[in-house]
Amino acid sequence: MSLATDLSDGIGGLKFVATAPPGVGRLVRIPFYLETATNSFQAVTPGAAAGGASTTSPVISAISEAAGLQSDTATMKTPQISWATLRIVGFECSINTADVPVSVQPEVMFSDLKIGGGANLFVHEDFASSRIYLAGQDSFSGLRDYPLLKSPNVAEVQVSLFRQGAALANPAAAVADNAGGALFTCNLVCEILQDDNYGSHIPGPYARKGAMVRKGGSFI
Amino acid sequence: MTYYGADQQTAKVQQLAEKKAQLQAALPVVDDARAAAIEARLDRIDAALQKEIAHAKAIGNVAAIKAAMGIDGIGGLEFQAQAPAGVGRLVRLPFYPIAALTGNYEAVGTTVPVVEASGTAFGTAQNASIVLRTPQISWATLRIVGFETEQQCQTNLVTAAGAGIAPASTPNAKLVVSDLKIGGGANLFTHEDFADGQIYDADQPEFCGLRDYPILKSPNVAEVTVASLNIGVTAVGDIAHQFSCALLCEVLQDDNYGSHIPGPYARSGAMVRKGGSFI
Repeated sequence: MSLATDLSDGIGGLKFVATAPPGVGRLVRIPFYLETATNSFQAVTPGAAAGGASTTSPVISAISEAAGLQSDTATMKTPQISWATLRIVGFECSINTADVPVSVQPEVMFSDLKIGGGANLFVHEDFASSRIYLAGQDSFSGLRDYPLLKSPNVAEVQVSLFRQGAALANPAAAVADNAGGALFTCNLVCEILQDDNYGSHIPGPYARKGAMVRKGGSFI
Repeated sequence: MTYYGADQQTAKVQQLAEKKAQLQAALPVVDDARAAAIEARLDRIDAALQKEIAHAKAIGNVAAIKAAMGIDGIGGLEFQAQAPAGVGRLVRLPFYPIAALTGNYEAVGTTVPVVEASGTAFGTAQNASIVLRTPQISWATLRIVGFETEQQCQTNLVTAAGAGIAPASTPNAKLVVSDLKIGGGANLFTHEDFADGQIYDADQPEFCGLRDYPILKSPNVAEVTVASLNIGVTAVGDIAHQFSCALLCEVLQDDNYGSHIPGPYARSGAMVRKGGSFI
């Protein structure tokens, strides 16, 4: 029993909590962009017709092109961040599907999140449902490690779509095609350790040295 | 069984607990020298309370001591209630269109923050980006601590001839945001290009960070670039997308209501940084 927590804090037996901003440079998001389009994954960019790749807009149109259960696989990458050293602390995505789809809503899947040529940061070696990492969840999903992200390294992740598909066109040319697709984005959740413009910051307690003690392992 | 001295001990602990609460309440508003003195006094009170707790266990007076400290019936649980942020904290300052909007965007002048965007037709260019801006706040000095979006979207459903609504609608539109800046300052977002506005959605359980928490003081204003994107529709208007953006601020000094104490995340101790060209 600690005097501070059990006997003197929160007089009256209640603690009042207000959700607060995380602090300077904490829990920032770095979007992934589609540098190479595939049949099933194409970017949607302001001021341009939908389709192709984009290094400026993170919004991706995904439709299963193949008649089957799984689309092709695309690689999404973060841009090189030359102005800061970041620590990766999470992965997050946001998905819009049709209000009334033609069949079951498609499922976006992710695998193999890695930095440069590093090891997979996901605990799943193969694809997992994006809903694990959906923004708006009460808690963040964990990763195997919280590595540094420093230019010229970038993060990349594999994405695929699960849907009882028919051969559809992407970018779609019919409402029925669109109704079977999704618009999605994904982001890295990071802490800025050092920013060339705004200086060095103190990371959140989850990303400090004391919270990342580990013993053994080939990546120590 | 209650031993001799239990009542006196209870009264003493009550006094100590009251003094501790008074000192803790004063701590955020005193200068550094006074704060150091208060912390030393709090340490001495803690030590005295610890001693009384040990003594209470020895004489069977624990329940009375807990009651005296205001934690009677806590039962080993801590209760938390979501609370208001406090005076002048986490206030929202809306962004407004800076001029009449064109293309598929619609707004009501420059005093209503809500913008509506229609979907673009298949194969045509997506909606271009627009700039939204906060008004000049001449009556207060603010510290920016976040950015927030709010959006609602509806896609029209296909009407099957004679059969009501058929199951087919397009995915809801996405709001993308970029280049949040104060006056002519550097981008406060970590993304140099567009990012999903959902990151900053008001419904998220936590706030997203920014690169800096700068001061916003008139005549400076904040501005942000936004765009509404969709997958393509058969006719313009098939997607209705309403959105608005707001700046999350702490009021540091208000001409009418005085100076406030910002939240702990916006105090100098929480914003320690070294180096950087903007320091």
